[in-house]
Amino acid sequence: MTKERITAESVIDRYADMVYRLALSQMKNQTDADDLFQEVFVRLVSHVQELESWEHVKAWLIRVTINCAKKHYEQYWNRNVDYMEEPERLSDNAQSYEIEEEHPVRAAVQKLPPKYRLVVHLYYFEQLSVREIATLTGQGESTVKSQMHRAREMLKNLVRDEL
Amino acid sequence: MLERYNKETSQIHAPADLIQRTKEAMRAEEARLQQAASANAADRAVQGGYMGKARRWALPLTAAAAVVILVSVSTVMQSVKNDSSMAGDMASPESGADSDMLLSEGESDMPLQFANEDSVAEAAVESNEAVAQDAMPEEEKKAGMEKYEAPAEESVEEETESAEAENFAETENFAEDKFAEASDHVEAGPAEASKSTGVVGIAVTEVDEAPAFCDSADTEQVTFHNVLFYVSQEDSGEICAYAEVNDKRYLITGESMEQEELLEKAYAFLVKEMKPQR
Repeated sequence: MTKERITAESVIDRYADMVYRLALSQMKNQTDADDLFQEVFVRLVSHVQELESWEHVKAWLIRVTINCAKKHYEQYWNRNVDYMEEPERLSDNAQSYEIEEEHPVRAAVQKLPPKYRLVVHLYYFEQLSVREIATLTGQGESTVKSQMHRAREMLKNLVRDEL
Repeated sequence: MLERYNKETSQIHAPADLIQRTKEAMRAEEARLQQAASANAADRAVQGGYMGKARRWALPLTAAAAVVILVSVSTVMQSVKNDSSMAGDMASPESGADSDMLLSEGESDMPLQFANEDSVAEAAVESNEAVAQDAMPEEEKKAGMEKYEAPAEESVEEETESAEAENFAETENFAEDKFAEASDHVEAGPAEASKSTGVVGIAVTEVDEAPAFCDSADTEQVTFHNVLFYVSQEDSGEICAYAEVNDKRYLITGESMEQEELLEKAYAFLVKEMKPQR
């Protein structure tokens, strides 16, 4: 059985949507999500030789996306601008992101703090276990569990209000 | 609720134009990486070649430098050794006596002071020749020794003159420096060592002790220009005189002349001796 050769092109064809969704869940606007998407795949070019399996590729992409998003928020300018911006600006680009009225739950998730958004997205959409999320985010499993619990509580309140 | 979240999220897809732009950026990055890698490889090759050459030459260069240093140090040590041996030759009684003998035989009309300088210069030249002969082959050395041992006056004069011409500056300074040593050496030498007086008709010899005739009853004590002379007339007609000047003892001999004439000539010589030396 010949081993499939993993190239940057094949990775982007296979995981473009996954990275894009994760970037959208972490960024508060379309432009930043696009920039994050490009940065992750450009970084992949210099590391694709080190990735041995598709599982490895997926884990690498999620970890790099999270790290790039953290770096984005750590920058002084983005930290200040993002706090002032409202999540509604996510709907500026109608071509790639539907209006908030059509995705009320997603709009509610976007209103969560970034660390809660991340665990909700990884756990419910990417179907990762608590242990995997803890490994990828560099946190303890109990921390992840408590974040999940708080995220659920906040979402309940948000959705109840929205609906 | 979260199932609805999954449904809503799954409807989101990466825009095609974003994927296309990202692919172009990835290709550009790939080309840049390849270019950088080839440049790095070329740099490594250049550096490796240069360093390899440097390492290849480092050991021979170090060895050559060490050899040069050793040779220069040994040369310096050799020259120091030769200088010390030359000084030893100058201080040895035999060489001084030889040079004085040659001078007394061949150049008896030369003033004593300059004769001494010449003898010192000659000795210096001889020692230089000896140093040069050390480096000569055996046959040349023998030829040089034969030439050196030849007692002819002309060869001595030629040697002295050529040495003076060639090593004038060095020899003159060296002779001046060594003159006092040579004079002391003459004092410490055997009593038979004689000097040319530079005065016609008499011979003056510097001696260590007063000759026996001073104690003889036939010896006259003559004071000539405040210099006390012990004068003895020999049966052969030779006149011997003895005088002490500046703590030096001189034996003066003369033939076929009157006592007063001898004393005048001896006094003229002693006056020269009493003058402050250069």
